[in-house]
Amino acid sequence: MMAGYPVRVRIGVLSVILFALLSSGLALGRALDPPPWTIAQDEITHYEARFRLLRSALPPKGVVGYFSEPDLPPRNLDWWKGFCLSEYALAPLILADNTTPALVIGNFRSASPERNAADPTLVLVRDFGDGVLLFRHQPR
Amino acid sequence: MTLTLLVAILASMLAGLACTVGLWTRQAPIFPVLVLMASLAVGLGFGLSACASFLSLSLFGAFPHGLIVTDVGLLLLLGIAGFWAFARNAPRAAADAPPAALSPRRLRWLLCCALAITLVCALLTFVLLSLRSPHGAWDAWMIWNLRARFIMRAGSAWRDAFSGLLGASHPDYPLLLPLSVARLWQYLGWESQAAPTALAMLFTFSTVALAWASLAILRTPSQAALAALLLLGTSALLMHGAFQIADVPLGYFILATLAGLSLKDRLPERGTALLVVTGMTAGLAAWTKNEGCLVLVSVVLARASVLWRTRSWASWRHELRAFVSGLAPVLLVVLYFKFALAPPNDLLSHLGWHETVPRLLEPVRYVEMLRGLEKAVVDLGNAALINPLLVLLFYLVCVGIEPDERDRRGLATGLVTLGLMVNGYGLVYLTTSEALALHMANSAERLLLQLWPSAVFLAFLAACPPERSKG
Repeated sequence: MMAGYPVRVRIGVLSVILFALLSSGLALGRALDPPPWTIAQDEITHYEARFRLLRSALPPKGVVGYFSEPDLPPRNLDWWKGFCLSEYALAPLILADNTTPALVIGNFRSASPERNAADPTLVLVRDFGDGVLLFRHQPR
Repeated sequence: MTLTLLVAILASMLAGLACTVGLWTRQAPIFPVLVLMASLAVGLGFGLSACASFLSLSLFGAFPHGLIVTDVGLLLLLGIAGFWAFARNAPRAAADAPPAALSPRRLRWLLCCALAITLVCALLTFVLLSLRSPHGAWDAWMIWNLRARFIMRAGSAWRDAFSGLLGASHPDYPLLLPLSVARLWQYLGWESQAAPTALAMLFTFSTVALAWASLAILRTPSQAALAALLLLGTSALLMHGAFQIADVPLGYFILATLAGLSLKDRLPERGTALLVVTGMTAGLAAWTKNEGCLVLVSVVLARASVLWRTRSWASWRHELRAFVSGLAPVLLVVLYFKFALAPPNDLLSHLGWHETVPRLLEPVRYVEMLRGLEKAVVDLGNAALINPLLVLLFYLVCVGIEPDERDRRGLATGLVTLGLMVNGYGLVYLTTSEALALHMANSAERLLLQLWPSAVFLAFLAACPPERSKG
């Protein structure tokens, strides 16, 4: 194919061609394992679906509080991911990582969580199921 | 939906194309020039549309279809300017003679087939990865797509996107990507994940097209094809592209800036137009990510040092004028955003003298940084069969280095720019208030990826083309 070229040039050109063909083939193979159409739903779309009902019960903008399982310390990776995904799902509402605002969201891995461990003044407004709850502060 | 998305993308690309008509020349092969203009049109179009969208939101607030109305205005404005530039340049362009620089037939066929197969595999991989993660990776949804949602959903309260309470999502980061996504959503009328995916795809493959077209003009078609093959074989580029990470568009703008400066030295009759476009792409780098500010400073310093060495003062003044005329409108938008809207940057706000100087004087941090860099280089090749950096070095050893005399200034500018950027990144790591190893583990590979397309471009600009070695 490359007659007339010095051997070192042939090796150089063929090494780039082989690298590209094999690497892109390998990448394609990895992308197909497992094929994306066999995966029911990606993690974020699934997470958003949990918050769909809650979103309709919240004001369109403003700040709401957030708390999660008491055994997950704030800034722990699981806690952090849950907080960030909740923010992503509920934008343009702004989530505060405390229970100070008038409305507070509870986001739990368990469907029947320990409800008001974070703040005893919180009363449940609605349980949306799948570990998603809405609280407000008890009027004094 | 597909048609609307296509119209929205075409509207941006037409605006970008209007900025590149001044580059039209017959002094270079026509097809690479057209590919160069089209690939530049992607970045310029989306970048300038995002600038116009931001100005519209800031001046007139959010109103229904506001971003689309702004788009039409921008398209008209740039269209008139582009038509004027084309009418002025066309007679000169037609007079130029096309050079014939084709690779030998068999080599051409070999490279064409390899490129076609690799391109199809890369496109399929990109689509499959996007189907698997339609919202992209953590940074994509947490920073860029979240900001786009605020702009799309919040209406008149769009400035909430920059609240200090959103510190984790870096509200000080610039807006090219969020505004581009929000614009596409406004065209579509709903938040389809096809919009950020299409944007990511355009930037990823335009990077390859830009490298190919620039090298096909500056060197030979075979050099261009080999560079494109190497980039398409870099799985990390495809993966991060499909995961909608902003480092890929930033890498595109760095490449566009360095390629533009190299082309300027080779096509002097299109020099002013190329410098204006280069100024725009450098500014748009700063409108994409904060590291883009480092790109801007590095490019200006690098070019100044190269022209100072060759004592080309008159050339420097002319270049600076044209470069600034492209840069200024974009830079003003970036500065307005930074000073009027963006909260302080988390890295810079922790840089007091009392904390920073001791960090700089700690030898162990330098060792830790080098270890992090080594890991990042290894990570760049993790998803590929073999590290693409090794393949590039092996290729250079095989064919040798023999840059064209006319490319020396462009090559030197590019190398000094990349050197300054690596040093700049190093300084950020050395002074970071975060745990250095963790900070590097989370970001160093992506920073290398920003520089990778430019490094490949410069390597192939310097390499001896295979045709020249033929006996």
